[in-house]
Amino acid sequence: MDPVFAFLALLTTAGAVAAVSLRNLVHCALCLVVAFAGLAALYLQLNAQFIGFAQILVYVGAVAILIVFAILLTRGSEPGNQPILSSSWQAGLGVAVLVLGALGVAVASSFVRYYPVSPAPQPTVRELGEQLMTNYVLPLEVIGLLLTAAMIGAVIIAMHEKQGPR
Amino acid sequence: MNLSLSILEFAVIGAGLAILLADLWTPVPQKRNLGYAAAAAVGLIFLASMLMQAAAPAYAFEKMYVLDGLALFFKRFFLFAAVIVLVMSVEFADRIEAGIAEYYALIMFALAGMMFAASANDFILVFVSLELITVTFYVLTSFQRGRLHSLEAGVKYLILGALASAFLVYGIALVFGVANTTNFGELMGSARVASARPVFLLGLLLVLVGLGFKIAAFPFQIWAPDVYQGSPAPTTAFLAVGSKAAGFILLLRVLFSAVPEITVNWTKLLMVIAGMTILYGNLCAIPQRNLKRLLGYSSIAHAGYMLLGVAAMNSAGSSAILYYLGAYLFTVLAAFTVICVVMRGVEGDDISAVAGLHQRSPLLAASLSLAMVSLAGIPPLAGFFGKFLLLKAVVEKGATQPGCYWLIAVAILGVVISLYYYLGVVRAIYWSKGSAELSDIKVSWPIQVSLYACIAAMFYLGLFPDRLVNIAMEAVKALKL
Amino acid sequence: MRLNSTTLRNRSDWSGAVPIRPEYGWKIGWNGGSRASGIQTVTGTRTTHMQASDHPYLFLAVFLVVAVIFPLVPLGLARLWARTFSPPKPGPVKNAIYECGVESKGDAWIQFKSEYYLYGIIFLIFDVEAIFLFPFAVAFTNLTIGAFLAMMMFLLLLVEGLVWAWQKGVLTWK
Repeated sequence: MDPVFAFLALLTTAGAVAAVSLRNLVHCALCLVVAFAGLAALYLQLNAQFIGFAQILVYVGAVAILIVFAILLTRGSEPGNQPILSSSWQAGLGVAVLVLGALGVAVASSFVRYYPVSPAPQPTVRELGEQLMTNYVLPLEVIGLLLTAAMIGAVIIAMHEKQGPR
Repeated sequence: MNLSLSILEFAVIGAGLAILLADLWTPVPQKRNLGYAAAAAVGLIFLASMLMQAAAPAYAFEKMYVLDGLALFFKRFFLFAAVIVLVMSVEFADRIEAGIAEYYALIMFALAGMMFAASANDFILVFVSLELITVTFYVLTSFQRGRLHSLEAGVKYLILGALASAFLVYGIALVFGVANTTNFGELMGSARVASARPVFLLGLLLVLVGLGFKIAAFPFQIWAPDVYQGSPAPTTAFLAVGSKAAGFILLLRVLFSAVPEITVNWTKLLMVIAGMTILYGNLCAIPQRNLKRLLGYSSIAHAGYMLLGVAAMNSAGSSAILYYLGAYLFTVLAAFTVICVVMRGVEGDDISAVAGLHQRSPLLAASLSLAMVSLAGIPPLAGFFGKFLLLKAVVEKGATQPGCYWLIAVAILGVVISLYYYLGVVRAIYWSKGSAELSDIKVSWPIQVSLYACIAAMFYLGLFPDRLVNIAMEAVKALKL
Repeated sequence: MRLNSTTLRNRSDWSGAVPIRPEYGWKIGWNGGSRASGIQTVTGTRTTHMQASDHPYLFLAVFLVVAVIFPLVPLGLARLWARTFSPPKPGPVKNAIYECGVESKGDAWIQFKSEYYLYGIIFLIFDVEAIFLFPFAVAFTNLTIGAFLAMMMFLLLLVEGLVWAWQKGVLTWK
């Protein structure tokens, strides 16, 4: 295994695990940022520069800030008393192992063995842009509508009761 | 590129944006009436859709978007549902603290997403249109942010919906990884080769999980009762009708248009899911006292009945789904319209709130009773004929698959169980003793019109099913069955 | 020393007229004498040349490691110093606020104004929009008028959202 990949994978996983298991919410948010950054580095390692930088711009930049704001907005940021592990964690672990096993068996038995892995396409940003504006123009418009609807919805729900829309 | 094919969607989006802008210059007391404008606009688009023809499938956007009989059928379905839901939300306006115009606009954006989903011929479009539907519904379910139940519904729907989206997109990624295409037409060509690889099948299974969440099929139904119960009534109605139908059109497209060769091997899986969904929905509905929660469980059961048509894997089954959805549309919308009017100022939506309804408003009482009777599947109403068609399709399948007879037994058992709780509601309306409230309920004329339309449609579809059956048969010709 | 020729895999369009590209920044950094030679000293002699070009973000990793070590070393030293020369002996008198300042009341975790969150949401939405604008801008010279109109429609949808938020007073700080 590539040591760089191993390091990044470890970093990402550790960040994600810490994000769900730490008690202090702010620490969780910061660990989530580590996981996001590790993911971005993984993309870069795969030579997917565009998506890597998009990940940094959107997740490490904006989403992390939003999460921190959300924590600051809610008063209950003191660590709670309930246990971190939910009571049904064994069942969850079982399901996770089952899914992982199925995925592993499926991957091991089919793709890698019979077919030489073709080199992944490495599109330039220009090619991405051309594809986006020709073949995928309809999803692009739908995403535009989706973003607008999401913004309106989030603002409507987050707006303070008294200041309410005029 | 043929833009004119998707003119209906763009018209809906334009109308939604216009409502959003008009809101900025409308004085506060007039804001709720924007809903009538929105309903009128969507109604006009519905009428325009009647003029459209789709004899042969027409493609646009590099075959990503298809307009065929099936797509057109579902577009009309969604448009009609949205008209009634918008009228319902005007009735609901005073229970929403702020932003009623945004509520209308978001309903229209969700409608646009459903219409795109009806025409999706590519997994990318499937994903973005489903996201458009789901994200707008996250907001619509938690719109009454003063009420804890509404926020709880929103949060539950958000978390489980995000999980389902993750499954869906992971599945799409695996499918793309093997087949190197996301287009349904190209997938059909490569499916036979790709089906040898478990990763491809696993990807399709994960896609099914994502769609199973949308239609609330067992075992992905957990969210439905809580979300149905907590959401504002118009949202619940749109969720029960629109979102579920969008799930079904995508399910039909993926199973019978993208990978028909693989689907054939999945008969048993689909049969088990259908049977479990029917049993779960009906058994859990028995003890419910909350009317919306009861309808939530009943909607799970109905998803199960419709899955019978998928499991039958013949054109009779698929056209029966279309007919069933048509009947379900009018029935459920009538029921939720009544709930929306009656439950004003009632906390908890308890069944006791409809006690003595026939003295307070005969129209509402008749509508709700007829809706319940139709949902239960009692002739001569629409629901009966839908169930009859579905069972008939499964019987046809039974010649090759003996397990189908067990499935029929389960379905009939489900119908018998459902009689108990549906007729319990009817009993509460007409024969309950000692109802507290006996004041008359004023019903505004748009609500009256939509109720009369739903009742007429229930009887029409039940007594003269030929026309819709023929339309449905024509529509499913687009599928490779 | 033309390291970039291998990492960029002979993309002819890299020399295009569009200035903003993810790799462009490091390309400048790589070519711009001083930093490149700095990498050279870190990675060693010319024998590691190929390895460095295999990992175009190596300088980021090095930077990260230095960025972690740089503050940790003085912090560790300070801690060591404190431990040896001034061991902690806290007491009520020693911890009291003296000379200036008032006793703090309540918790430092106060509820922030919700405007922060609204701004955050709007920022996030337009951040995502920028992600889509970026490949459009790079491909701009090859695009048809239809693609341009499509992008304008995309922008119009989002501008409508902005106009809505503005008119609703979301952007005014109260």
